[in-house]
Amino acid sequence: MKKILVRKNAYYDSVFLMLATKALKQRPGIKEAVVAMGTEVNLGLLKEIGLLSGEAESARPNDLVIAIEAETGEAVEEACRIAEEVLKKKSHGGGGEEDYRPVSLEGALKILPEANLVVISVPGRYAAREARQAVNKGLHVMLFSDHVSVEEEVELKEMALERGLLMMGPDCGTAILNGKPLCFANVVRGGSIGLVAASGSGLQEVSCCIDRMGGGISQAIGTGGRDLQDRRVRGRMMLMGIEALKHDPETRVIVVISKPPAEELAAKVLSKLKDTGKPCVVHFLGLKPSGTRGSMRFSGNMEEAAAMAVALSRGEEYRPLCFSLSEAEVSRVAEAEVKRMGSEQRYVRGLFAGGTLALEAMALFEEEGFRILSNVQKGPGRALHSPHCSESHAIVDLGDDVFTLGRPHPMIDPSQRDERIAKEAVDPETALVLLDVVLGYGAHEDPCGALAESVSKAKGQVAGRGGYLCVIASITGTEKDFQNMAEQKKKLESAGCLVMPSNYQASLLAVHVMRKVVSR
Amino acid sequence: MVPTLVGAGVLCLTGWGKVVSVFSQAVNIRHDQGLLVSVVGETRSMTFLSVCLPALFRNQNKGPVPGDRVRFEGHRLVTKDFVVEFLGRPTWQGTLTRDDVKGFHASKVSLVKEALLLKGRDGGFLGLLCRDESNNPFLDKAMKALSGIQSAPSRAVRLKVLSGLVGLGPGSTPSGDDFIAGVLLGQEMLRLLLSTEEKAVAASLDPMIPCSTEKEALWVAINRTSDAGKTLLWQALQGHFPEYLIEMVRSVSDAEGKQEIVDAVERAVGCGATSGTDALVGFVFCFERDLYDRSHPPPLSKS
Amino acid sequence: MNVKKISELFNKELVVINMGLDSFADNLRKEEVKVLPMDWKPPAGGDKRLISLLEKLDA
Repeated sequence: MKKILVRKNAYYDSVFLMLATKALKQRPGIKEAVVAMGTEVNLGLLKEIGLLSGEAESARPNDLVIAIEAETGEAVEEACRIAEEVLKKKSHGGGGEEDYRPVSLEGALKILPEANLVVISVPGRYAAREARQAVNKGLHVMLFSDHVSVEEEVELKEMALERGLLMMGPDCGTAILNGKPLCFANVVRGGSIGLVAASGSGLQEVSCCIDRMGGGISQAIGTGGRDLQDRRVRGRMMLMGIEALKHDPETRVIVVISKPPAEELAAKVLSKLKDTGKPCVVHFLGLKPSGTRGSMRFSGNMEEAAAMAVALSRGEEYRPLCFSLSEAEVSRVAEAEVKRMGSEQRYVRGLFAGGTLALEAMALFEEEGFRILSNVQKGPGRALHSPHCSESHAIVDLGDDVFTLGRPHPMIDPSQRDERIAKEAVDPETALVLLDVVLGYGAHEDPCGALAESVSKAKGQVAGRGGYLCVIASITGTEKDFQNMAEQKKKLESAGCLVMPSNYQASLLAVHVMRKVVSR
Repeated sequence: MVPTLVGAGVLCLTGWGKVVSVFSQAVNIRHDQGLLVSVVGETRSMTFLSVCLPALFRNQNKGPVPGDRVRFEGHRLVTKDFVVEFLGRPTWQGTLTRDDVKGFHASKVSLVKEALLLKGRDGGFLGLLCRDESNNPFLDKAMKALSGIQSAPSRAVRLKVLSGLVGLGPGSTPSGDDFIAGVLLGQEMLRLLLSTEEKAVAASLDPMIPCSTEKEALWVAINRTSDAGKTLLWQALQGHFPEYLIEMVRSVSDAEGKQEIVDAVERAVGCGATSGTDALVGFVFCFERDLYDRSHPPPLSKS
Repeated sequence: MNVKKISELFNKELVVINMGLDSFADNLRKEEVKVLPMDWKPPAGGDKRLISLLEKLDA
C-alpha cells in the first residue's frame, strides 16, 4: 500500500528531516519511506520506484514530499498520521531547538547563563582566544589544549589571577573539582586531601593511591605542565591553587606534585604552603626527599606522597611504606623470573603511556645505579639515538610528541605500545618489560585487553628462543573507574604479567629483578 | 533582476522577499528570485548569503515572524520592524585565496577521504566513496549518473553529467547540491594550486565568471532545486562557499598531522544532516575523478 | 590573591560548557554533571587575518 504526502513550501531543518525519515522507516510494516524535496529529479526517482502519484506529481522544488510504502493499509495510514503530526509541530522552526548546539561561547552562555566552568580542548592555535573570552565572561577555565605559547599562557594566567578565576592549563589533562573527574581523571573517594599538580598522570597516580589507602580527595587542581617549569609563568596557578586550598574548609591536607621547579620558584611554593597553616606533602619528581620540615613532608615517590597525605589526614604519624610483598617474597619472585632467562637477556625496557610515571621509574632505576637511556632524558649521553629503537637499559615515554604527532596518545590508543612490545620481544637482549596502565575517564575502555594479547605474544616469542620475558605492570585506577579494574588486572595476570598496585612498587620490583639479572 | 555578490561579498539585492523561518540564532528570508538570505546572530553560523546582526537576537520577544514581507534595497533589507544595513556588517566572504590552500597536497586528499569514510554520516552520498550497496535509491541513481563521468570526452560534458545531480537526494538542501558544491570547491582549490603554465590555460577558462559556457549546464540546473540548494549553488558557481567548507580547507591545508585532518573533517561532517558529508564526498570525488581534460596532467605533484 | 570566586565554585554545583572533544562532555554527563556540549567551529572560518581583527575588536 502506498501513500504520498506533500507539504507545500516547506522549510524544515535537514537534521529533523533525517530523523523523521529514520522514525518512519522503523515503524512496523513499513517497506519504504522517502522524505525529500519535490525537485524534478527526486520526483523522477519516485516515479521510477513506483511511488509517485496524485498531487505529488505536480510538487515543486520547495515542497516537501513524503512517500510511504507499507505492507498494509493500516500501516500506511498510521505512518502518514504520525508524519503529519510531527511536521505540524516543527513547521516554521519556531525557535525551539532542543538539540541546538551552540557554536560559540556567547551562544552557549545564552543557553546556559549559570555556567561556571569551561573545558577547552580545541586546537592550540584557537585555544588562547577562547580561554581569554571565557575569563572575560567570569568563567573558570580548564585548558586541556596544548601548543599554546608561553606568552599567551602568562597573559591568560595573569587575567585569571586578577579576576580570581581558575586557569588550569594550558596542557592540563587532569583535574577533580567538587568530586567530579575532569578530562583524563579517575573516580576517587571524596575526602579531606587537596592536590595541586603540574602533572596529569602524577595527579592520577597520587589520587588513585590515596583512594586505595582509604583516603579521599577534596579538590585536585591542575596547573598545566609549564606552570613551575618556565620562569616566565612563575608558578602562578600553583600558588593560586594552594591559596584556594588554604581557604577551603574541606581541605585539611595539601599535596603538591610537580617536576622540580626552578630554584626561586621552589622557595615560593614552600613558603606559600607554610603560610596555609595546614599539613603539606611536597612531591618534586625525581628530587630526593629531605624528610620533614615542620609541618611539611617531602616524599620520595608518588605512592609515598599519597601515604603521607593519608596519614596526615588521619592525624597519624607517617610510617614508611612497606612494599606490599615481603623481602623474602620479592626475592623469591625475582629469582623465579630470572631463572628461566637466556644468558643474552640483560636489559630493562620501560614502555610508558604516562610521562610522569616514566620519570618516576627512571629516577628509581638511576638511584639504584642503573644507567637509563630515554627519549625524555636530558642528561649527557642519556638520550636514545632514536626514540623508536631501544638500546641498553631504556625507559620510553610513548606519550611524547615524537610519537603522538598525527596519532592518538597511547592512553587512548594502545596500538603504538603493542607494536613496541613486539619490537622489544624480537631483541634478544630484552630481559624485562615494564609497563604502566592508566584507567579512568579519557583512557581506553579496555587497555588491558589488547595489552594482554601483546604480552602473551611477546612472551611466547621469547620462550620460543629458549628464554623468558619478564613483564611487570602497574595499574593506575580505582575500582570505581568504568573499565573494571579487577577484570583489567586479571587479564594481565592471565597473560603472565606481574601486576603491582602502584607505579613505584612495579618499578621497585623491576629493580629487584634486574639486580638479579645483572648479578647472574 | 539577478542578484549579485558585489566586490568583497557584500550583497546587492533588490526586490521583495518573505521571512520563511525563524530560529534562535538565524532568520531565513527568501528573496522572490529563490535565493535564501540569512540574518544570523553569530559569525560562525553563516552558511548562505548571510549577514551577522547579533542585536536582532538579543531580544527574544520582539522579532520577525514567518510570513513577514521584506524589501531588499541594494545594500539593505527592510521589514516593518527592522532595517539591516549590509555595508559594514560582517557578511560572508567565502572565497579561497592561495594562502588558504598552500599546504594542500595529494596525500592530504587521501587522508581526508580516509577520515571521511570513518566519520562521515550515512543517508546521503557517502556510499559513492565506498561503493556501499545500501538501500538508498538516491545513491543508486547518483552512482548511475556519475558512471558517465570517466568516459566523458570533455570537461563541459562532465559538468553536464554533474548537473544531472542537482536536486537529487534527501535534505532541505538535496545531497546532490552539496556534492556539487564540494566538487566546485575542489575545482576552485585546483585553480589556485595550478602551476604557472597551466594557470595561463586555466585563466582563459576562468571559472569565476558567472554564466561561462563551461558551467552553463549547472547554471540552468540550479532552477530545478529547492531554495536552499539554489542559494548554495548560486554562490558556489561564483567561487563563494559556506564558512564550514572554507574552514575545512584551511584547516587541512595547515594541518601538520593526521589527527588535525581527522578533526577538521569531523567538524565539517557535523554540519546539517548529511550536507557536510556530501560536500566532502564531492570534494574528494573532484580529485579522484580528475575532471580536467586528459591532455593536461594532474597538477598536484608534491606528495 | 583573591580566591573568593574559587571558594564559591567549590561550594556550588559544577555547570560546564564543553568546547572541543565531545567525549569530555559525555564523560561529565556520566558523572551527572550539568554540561552543554558545543559544536565549536573556528571563528571567521579559520581566516587568520579576520581572527586577528576580531581579537582587536574583543580588546
